[in-house]
Amino acid sequence: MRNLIYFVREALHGLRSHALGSFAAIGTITACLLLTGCFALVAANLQLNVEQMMGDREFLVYLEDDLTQEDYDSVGEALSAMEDVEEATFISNEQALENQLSSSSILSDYFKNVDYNLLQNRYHVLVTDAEALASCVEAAETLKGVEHVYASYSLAQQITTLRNQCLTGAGVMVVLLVVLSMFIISNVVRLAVVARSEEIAIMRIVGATNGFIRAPFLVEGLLIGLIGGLCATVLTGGLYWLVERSLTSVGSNSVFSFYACQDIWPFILLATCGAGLLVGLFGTILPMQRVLKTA
Amino acid sequence: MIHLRNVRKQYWEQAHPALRGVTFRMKPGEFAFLVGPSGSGKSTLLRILHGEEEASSGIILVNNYDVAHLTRRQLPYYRRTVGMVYQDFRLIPNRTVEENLSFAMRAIGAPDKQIRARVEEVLEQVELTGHKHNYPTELSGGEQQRVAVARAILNHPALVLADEPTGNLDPKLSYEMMKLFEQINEDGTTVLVVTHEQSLVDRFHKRVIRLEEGKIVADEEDGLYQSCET
Repeated sequence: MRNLIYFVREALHGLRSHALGSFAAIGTITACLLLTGCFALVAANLQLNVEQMMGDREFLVYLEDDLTQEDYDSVGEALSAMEDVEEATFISNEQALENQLSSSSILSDYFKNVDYNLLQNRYHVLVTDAEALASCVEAAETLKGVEHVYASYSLAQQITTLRNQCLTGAGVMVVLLVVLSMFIISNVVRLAVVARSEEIAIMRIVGATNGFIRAPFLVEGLLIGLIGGLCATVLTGGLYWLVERSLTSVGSNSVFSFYACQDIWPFILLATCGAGLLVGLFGTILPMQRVLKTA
Repeated sequence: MIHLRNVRKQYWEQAHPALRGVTFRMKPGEFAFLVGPSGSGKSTLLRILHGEEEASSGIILVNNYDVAHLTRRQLPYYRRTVGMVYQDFRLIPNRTVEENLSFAMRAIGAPDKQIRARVEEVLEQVELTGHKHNYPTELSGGEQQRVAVARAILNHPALVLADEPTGNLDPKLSYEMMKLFEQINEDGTTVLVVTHEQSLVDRFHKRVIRLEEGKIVADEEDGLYQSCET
């Protein structure tokens, strides 16, 4: 414990003595973690929506405009006859408009001056199991009188592509973070070792172990990583809170689901600080092995 | 205790050997001067004894350690049994006298209470109690060297090695420094001092080992610098 206090004191002394390098290292880690965090948060929220959409058991079958009542009924019968369909309910274009206007969705405002004739008659189909949705949609698309079918899973597939792109972005940022931060931290550590080469030589003279010599530099690297992680937590959390607040204020939460800030910030804290500490640790260990051999 | 047998040191194959079969013993609590002209191998021998360099061959037993075969892990623990004093003091300039000393004890994991007590004790021994808050640059050469000696004896080493400790001091301070080594030796510590200063060696009437071209050419109890010259 007493050694830990000594190591922290020495590390803080080291941070102060080459403040510019330390600031650059902390800044780089913060920026990289912030970007990584943003990509990861977008990906996490997209995933949340994908999961919800994939869990849906319903789809809409839009009908062609010039059909007779008999045609509508035959589409309905064909839909109801499908093995996995639980229920197929006809919704006229008039009723569809009413439904939109009475919904709490932000889109309801846009339908105020819309003529119901612009909307299509449709069937709302409920399937027994979400897994059977795709095959039912496929079968519905082949029915005579059906113009197109809308199922949220097709949107989910598009969102999944977007999510994968975000995850790739996060992955690229992680690689950049590791390379850039380690480069900067290793240079900061080298500077610290050079600045304290006299002390290191004296430590060796009096019989300090390599572990004791390395410890202050390790603590210094960890502190740089931790401070960078904390700065990134504050910035990422703050940014997320702002985005969440503005999305909620325009009612986007009724269309798009996202994690609440208070639920997600502990994960942001853990992930960014953990990543910062790891970068600090490895960014110090690797150059230390080489530098101390020659110091 | 030092036991050297046929120690050789050759830096590279074609080079003139720095040490050529050095053999001598020092009993615990003994005091000896190691003298010889520049380039005779005195400092090389001291560095080998301190584990800073490896001998090319030979047996080196110091304080029950086989120095010739020390592992990297053993080296720090061996060095804790040896106090080293250099001509250029090797103090940390941006730390006070007290910090320079406590740093040496902290490096070997001593507890704070023990560090404080021992630092006070050695500062008293080297008569620098009033200077503990001074930085090395605020001290005279003699005082800085006394701090270096204090650091060397801080961890109760069985052996103190001094590499021309009076090289930067005037004759009066050199004599006082040597008296300090004598006092340390009287407390039971083995002391080996490398020096060029004939007058000092002659005044103290101690064992004198003379090294020339990497070989011991004279080794006399109660010797004189001159009588050892070949």
